[in-house]
Amino acid sequence: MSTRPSSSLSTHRTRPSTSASRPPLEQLVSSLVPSLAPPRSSRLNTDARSGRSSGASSRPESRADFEDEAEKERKERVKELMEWCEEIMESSLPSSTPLSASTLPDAAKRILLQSSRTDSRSASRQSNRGESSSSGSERAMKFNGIWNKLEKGRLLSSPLPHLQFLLALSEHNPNNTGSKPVSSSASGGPPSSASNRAFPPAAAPSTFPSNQPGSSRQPLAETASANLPRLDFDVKGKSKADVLKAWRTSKAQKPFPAHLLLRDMLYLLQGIDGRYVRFALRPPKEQNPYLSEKGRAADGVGFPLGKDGAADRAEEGDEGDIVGIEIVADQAKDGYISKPTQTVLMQLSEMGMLYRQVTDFINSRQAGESKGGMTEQSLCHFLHHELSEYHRLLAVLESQMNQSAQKDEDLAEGAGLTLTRLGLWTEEMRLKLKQMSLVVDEAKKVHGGALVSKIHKHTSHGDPLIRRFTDQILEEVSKPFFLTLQRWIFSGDLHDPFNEFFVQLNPETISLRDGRISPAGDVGFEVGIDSAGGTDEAHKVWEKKYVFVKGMVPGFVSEEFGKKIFSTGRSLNFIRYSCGDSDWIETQAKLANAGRALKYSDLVGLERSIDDAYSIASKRLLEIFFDKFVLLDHLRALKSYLMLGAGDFTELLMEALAPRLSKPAISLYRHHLTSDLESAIRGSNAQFDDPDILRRLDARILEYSHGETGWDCFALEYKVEAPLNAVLDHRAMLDYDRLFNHLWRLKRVESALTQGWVRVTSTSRAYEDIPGLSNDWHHCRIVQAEMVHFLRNLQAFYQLEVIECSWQALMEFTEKREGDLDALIAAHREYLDRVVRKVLLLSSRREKEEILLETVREALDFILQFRDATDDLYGWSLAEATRLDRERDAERGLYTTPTTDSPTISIQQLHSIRQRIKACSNSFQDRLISICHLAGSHTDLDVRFLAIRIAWNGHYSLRKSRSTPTAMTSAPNAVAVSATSATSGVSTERQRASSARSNRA
Amino acid sequence: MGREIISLQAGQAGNQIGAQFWQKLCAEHGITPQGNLEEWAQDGSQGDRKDVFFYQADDEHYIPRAILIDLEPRVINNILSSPFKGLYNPENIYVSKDGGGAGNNWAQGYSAGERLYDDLIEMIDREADGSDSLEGFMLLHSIAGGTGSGLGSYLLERLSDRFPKKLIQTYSVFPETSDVVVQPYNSLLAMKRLVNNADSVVVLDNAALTRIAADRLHMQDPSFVQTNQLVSTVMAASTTTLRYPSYMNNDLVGIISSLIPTPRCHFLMTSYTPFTGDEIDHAKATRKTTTLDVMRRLLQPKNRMVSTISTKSSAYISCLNIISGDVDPTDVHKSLLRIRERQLANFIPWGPASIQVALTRKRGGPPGGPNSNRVSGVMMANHTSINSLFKRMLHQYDMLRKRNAFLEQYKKEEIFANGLDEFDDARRVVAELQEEYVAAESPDYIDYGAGA
Repeated sequence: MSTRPSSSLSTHRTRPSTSASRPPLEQLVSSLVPSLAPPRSSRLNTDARSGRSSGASSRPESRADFEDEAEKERKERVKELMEWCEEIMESSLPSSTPLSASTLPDAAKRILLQSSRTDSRSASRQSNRGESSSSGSERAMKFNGIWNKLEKGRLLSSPLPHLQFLLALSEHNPNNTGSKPVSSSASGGPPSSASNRAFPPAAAPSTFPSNQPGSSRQPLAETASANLPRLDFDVKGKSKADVLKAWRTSKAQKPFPAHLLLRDMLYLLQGIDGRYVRFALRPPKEQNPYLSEKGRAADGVGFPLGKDGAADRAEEGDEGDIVGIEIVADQAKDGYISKPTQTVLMQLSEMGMLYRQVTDFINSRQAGESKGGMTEQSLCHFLHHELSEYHRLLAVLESQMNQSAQKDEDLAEGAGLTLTRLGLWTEEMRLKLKQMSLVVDEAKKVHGGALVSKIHKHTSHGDPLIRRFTDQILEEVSKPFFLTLQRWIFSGDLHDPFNEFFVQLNPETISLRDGRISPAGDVGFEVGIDSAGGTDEAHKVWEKKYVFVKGMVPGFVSEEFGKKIFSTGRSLNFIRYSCGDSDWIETQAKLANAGRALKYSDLVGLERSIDDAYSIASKRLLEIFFDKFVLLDHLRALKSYLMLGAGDFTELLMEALAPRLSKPAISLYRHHLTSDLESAIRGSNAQFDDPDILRRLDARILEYSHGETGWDCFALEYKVEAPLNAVLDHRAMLDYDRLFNHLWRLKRVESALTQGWVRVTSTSRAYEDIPGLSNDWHHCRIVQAEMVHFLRNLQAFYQLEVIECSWQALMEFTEKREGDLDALIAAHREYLDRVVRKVLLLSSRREKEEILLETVREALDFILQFRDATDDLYGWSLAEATRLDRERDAERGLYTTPTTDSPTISIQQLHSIRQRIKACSNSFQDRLISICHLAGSHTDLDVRFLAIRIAWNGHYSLRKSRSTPTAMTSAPNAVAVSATSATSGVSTERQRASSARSNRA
Repeated sequence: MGREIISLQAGQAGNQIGAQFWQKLCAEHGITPQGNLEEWAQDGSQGDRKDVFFYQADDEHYIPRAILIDLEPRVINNILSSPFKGLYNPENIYVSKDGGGAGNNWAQGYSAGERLYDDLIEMIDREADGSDSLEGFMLLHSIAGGTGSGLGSYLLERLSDRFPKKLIQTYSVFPETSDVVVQPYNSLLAMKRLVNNADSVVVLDNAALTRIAADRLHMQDPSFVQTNQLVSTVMAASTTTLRYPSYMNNDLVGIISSLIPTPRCHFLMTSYTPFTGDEIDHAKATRKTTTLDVMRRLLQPKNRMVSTISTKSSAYISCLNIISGDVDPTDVHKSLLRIRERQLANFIPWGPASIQVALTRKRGGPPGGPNSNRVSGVMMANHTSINSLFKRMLHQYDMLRKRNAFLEQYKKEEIFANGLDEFDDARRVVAELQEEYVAAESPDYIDYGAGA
């Protein structure tokens, strides 16, 4: 451990004395195994510095032969031991003996104490003892001091193993010490430096790095300071590299000529095998260096380069995968390639490997049928460009190399090409190549927008160089993307032959069109769809023609933004192909200013451009819809005519149609209906409407079954065609149909009821004086008032709460004119859904969705039946009045025609009429009560308000418990007349109603 | 297009109100005093139906479906010297040649009617024939004087005979106590016809009109012009839905059928808010009104155009609010809930009843004109408290009749030649009506008349 300039001596156990020039390991060995210490001449460490500058070399001559012999012997021993040491050190096996922190230093001290005894003995025998009289205890103390320093100073990461190792060494040796004579060096090296033979310090670090400071450097430094005077050169002034070089030259093995390596290296950089160094292909599995020691033994150090994982393994078959380099130079002949040099070579050769990967990629893409698309092509282009940069660099390097080869090596240090410089100068290129190969790897897996977005991920790299370089890649690679984007958002064209864009033609649509569309894109609708029969709705075109492919959205475009782009192009496309040429031209003019070159480096500008284009396109499309196709007028027309908002028109139509519709459906003819429709239009304010709108109105006869009347199968129709049916699609029109059906039915009942009112209430004077009937009429009127109230509230609810409120919401949207066509479609959809849900009183409960509607329809049916019954009562009353008149006339002796009806028969008729009226009233009131219950507990708050409206003054309870008494009080007369018949009447009515319903269904 | 309504204006009050009414309709529909269309009304985009109240002459001029009848020339001469003189069809104007009037005598007016039957019915028939599908008649008159009351009564009888299936609605101005000495007789006699021969009577009480003019408009001494403007405003407003069709309430029968459940109880009271300078000359401007404000004020008794005495059991039989202007439909919904919450209105116990609301598009007038979007409302209600009016009428009649005062003039006419049974019959009819209105306040109304 500590250097002991002790007086070692002679034939027998000499205390270790080390010379500064010795490599640390040997020094160590000799210091620990005193018997093997090199024979010590009488020199003193102190005076050796000045006196003998070349003492090491001159020493053998000054010694006796015996000493030479002993020296030789000793050196062999030392060598043996050192090899053993080296073996230990290079094996990374853990020590078998447990480390114990407390005992090791003690053991060391003990040994030191012991050895000092023998040492002092031998020392006393020596003549020139002198200053090296450090006693055992003194050394033990020294050791203690050093140990403390080591432990506290943390110079060594783990001092204990080192100590253990040293101890093991010292214990190992004393046995053999005596027997071996020390012999002079007989190795093949030049005698002058025979004593300096050792392993290079780098050998240990290369495999045992953690030992480096402790096991080699420290002793070296210490010995150096102690023994330098004995060497012929001054270590202090030189770098370690020089020391190493000196040592290597002293080792008599010439380093491999650097220029050869350089040349090879330049080849390697181009991906070509050199003469001495070449690429190692991935060996077959059994030869995997990681599996056996062979690889190392064969001097080719395998190392993994960046790649691992399944993908590589998959590729293994196709092309030899470069896993590293192998050095095929004959080192014995040409020189020695040191391990650091090898490392440098390996590091440099990585570039060659990357280069090969990149060029392989380019070649494969350019040679084969390039399916990669525009993005890949532009990537290749970029790579080409970068590689030519690389070639240029290599050319420069080569010229450098040639220069340095021409000139002598002793030229000024700064000039010429060395491996290190090569590494330095190519560092930047290496990073670039690495990045390129990463990109290439990705390009193998994905394409198009996905590739762009993969590359984009690297732009957040921490290294500004790489970041910048990635930006450059992206700038180039994204060019085709931006070209496509530009065509898409400025002309609505999808030019994307390789499906690289995130907007793609819907495969369904393509298949629908029987592949008539060319894969290159865009022939427009007039070719694809319209000629296919014109049945396709604009709605489908809008919805289905293009799809948004989320995976292809480049990383620098957020998804929301992507949707905007999608919508922009879609709008333009729609304008272009579905809305007519002139619109397109105008749109184009508007877009003209927005068109800017889009590129990756100007993302802010991109966003602005897209925002502009989006707002122009969306606004333009909305404008076209609102202004050219007067969408609002159509919506208003639908509201006026199909939702019966135009009251005068509806009434005229109903008036005109009523006689026809009361007949069986089979007697209906469409031309009658259309002519009635015509006259209704002409008679009402509808005549002022746009002829284009009126042209779309049409009367239709729905399919009917036997026994249905015209009322059941009449429908008003509103025709829309492309592109209007993008908004007013088939489903929407079905909804309008349903609305019309229900509202029309309501209107019909209303008109029946008001006519009934005229008979029952207004023109009651005709029969006022018939005895015994006033009460019947009074009851009819009360029930009728109830019906009117119900109907009016239902209608007012529909008009106010439902239609007007929903319409207002829609108008608010359309006034803003924000968003794109999608938003418009959604707004209309929402409007229509809301109206349908509330007008049809649909419940959110699936199976009972129409229960309330059914009840309302039943109630309406009962109103109509009631109306019939009161008509009969009216007729009977008139007949009775006439009969009474005649009786009076007869009494007065005037001539009368004989009456056919006897009073008894007419009384029976009256009785049955009364029963019918009661039955209808009761059934209606039953329904009304359940309507109140159902509506009162409805999921929709607005429908609940309907219940509140109907039961406004508490006449109907919204709770179930009081339903029966309410029903009774509403129609107490029913009980008074004939409770049993009334109830039976109710049940038969119900049966009738239900059977009628089932018929209809 | 059908649903035409023929207006008959009888007597001084009737013609004065009528003149204002037509003036207002012309303004709303954009018809000039000469019967031409204003420029802004020519494109047919108003969504209005002028043909309900007007017809077009051969030269496209709009002519009111109005028949002007008076037994004295003063009012009609005023009309004929006003800017609107060219509006009316001169054939539809009947002015008594002698010009003596009816002398505030119902019987005289009635007899005049009988005498003029041929002339009058000729005008009415011509107008009725000129209609596609006549909906009914509208009679404007006062029941206090002679012409409006007597001649009007005669017209009512004839109309219901001749057009039994047409509706007859009257706007009848009920007198103040002090108007005419014999007004209790006149009123009672006219009331009998209103009960028996009219389908719907909009009751306008002169006392209430004066009060409203004073209170609401802050005018101490409102002239007839202003009270008549009040009436014409109400008339115009309550016919808005007829003239501007929408989903419902597009015809008279639709409105009336929801208001009048039983034939006799057809006396409607109205209120209108807010009155502003547009409607009434010199009216004070009111603050901005919301839909809720309008609906709430319409329910307030002080805004009613009839002075009635409400009791605790007084109730609405029915109620229709027609709101016009720029109304947010959701506001109506909210207002309804609020009104129900606060129980601002009391309803009959024997059947369902509620406030119905009809929205109409903004009232006519040139687009963007002053207050064209202002929210205003008219209420038409069938309210049981109106019986107090009849009660008062009966009381006044009884007071006068007890003394047999002023009967000579009546006995002169043919109808009373055989005695005063007509008075008793009229009293019975009005008394029955009053009883029925009282009965309608109780749940037993369901069986009203069962015992009879």
